[in-house]
Amino acid sequence: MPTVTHNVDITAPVDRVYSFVADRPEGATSFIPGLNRISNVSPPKADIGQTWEYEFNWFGLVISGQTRCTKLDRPRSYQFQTVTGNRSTWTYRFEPKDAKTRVSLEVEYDIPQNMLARYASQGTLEKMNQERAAEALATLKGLLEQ
Amino acid sequence: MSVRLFHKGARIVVVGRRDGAGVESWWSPHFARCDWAPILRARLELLALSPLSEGDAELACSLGRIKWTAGRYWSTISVRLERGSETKRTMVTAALLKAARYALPATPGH
Repeated sequence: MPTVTHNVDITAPVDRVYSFVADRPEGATSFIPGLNRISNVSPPKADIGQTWEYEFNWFGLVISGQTRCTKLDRPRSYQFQTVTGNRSTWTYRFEPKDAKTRVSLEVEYDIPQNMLARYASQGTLEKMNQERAAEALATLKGLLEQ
Repeated sequence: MSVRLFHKGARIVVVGRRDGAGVESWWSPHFARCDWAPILRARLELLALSPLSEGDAELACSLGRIKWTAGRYWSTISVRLERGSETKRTMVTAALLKAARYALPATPGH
């Protein structure tokens, strides 16, 4: 599976950064480009096995499906997987560094063959996903810093 | 998984005027009155910006305020975020615009 990895240093305490990302899955719509809706979060409290539905605008197509939290290690790591459609695993890692927090995001994903046909090359698709991961973390940093 | 061309229940919200980071006016046409308060409040809560209602059509938060006029066929929304960094104001405004377009009113936040 292709993997996209990116990291960013955020001037905020690790607990605050972790809570922003992991405690309310709905908040991801504020910083992940193309992720426009999250609904039916169940149970409301973050835990392994928590599920939610997402709607994602993926280069012009609205893709919806279900996601499940698979790892929760406060305040070090948080992972979830899309469980319907094309599989992907999103892993956030949080590392305190003085007054900052280093956040790394790793996304492993399947490439749908019909999308490959549309964009002609896997490299192009991977570059677009790399740019989206970088944009997500830059937005997260902007929202959390003063 | 399903694939569609549009988000069900999405609203048309157009940026009518942008006067700087966090200072924008939006216009939204609709066929039924839209209750903007829970939509915008939920997003401000997710962003930990401590929203407070100020009357029926205004919210204050730690960065500034959002006002709207909700008519039968259209709404205007005025965002005035004047505290915090330019980057933060820009990103919060973008997050509010996304909520105005896509958030489902029945489920706070989204």
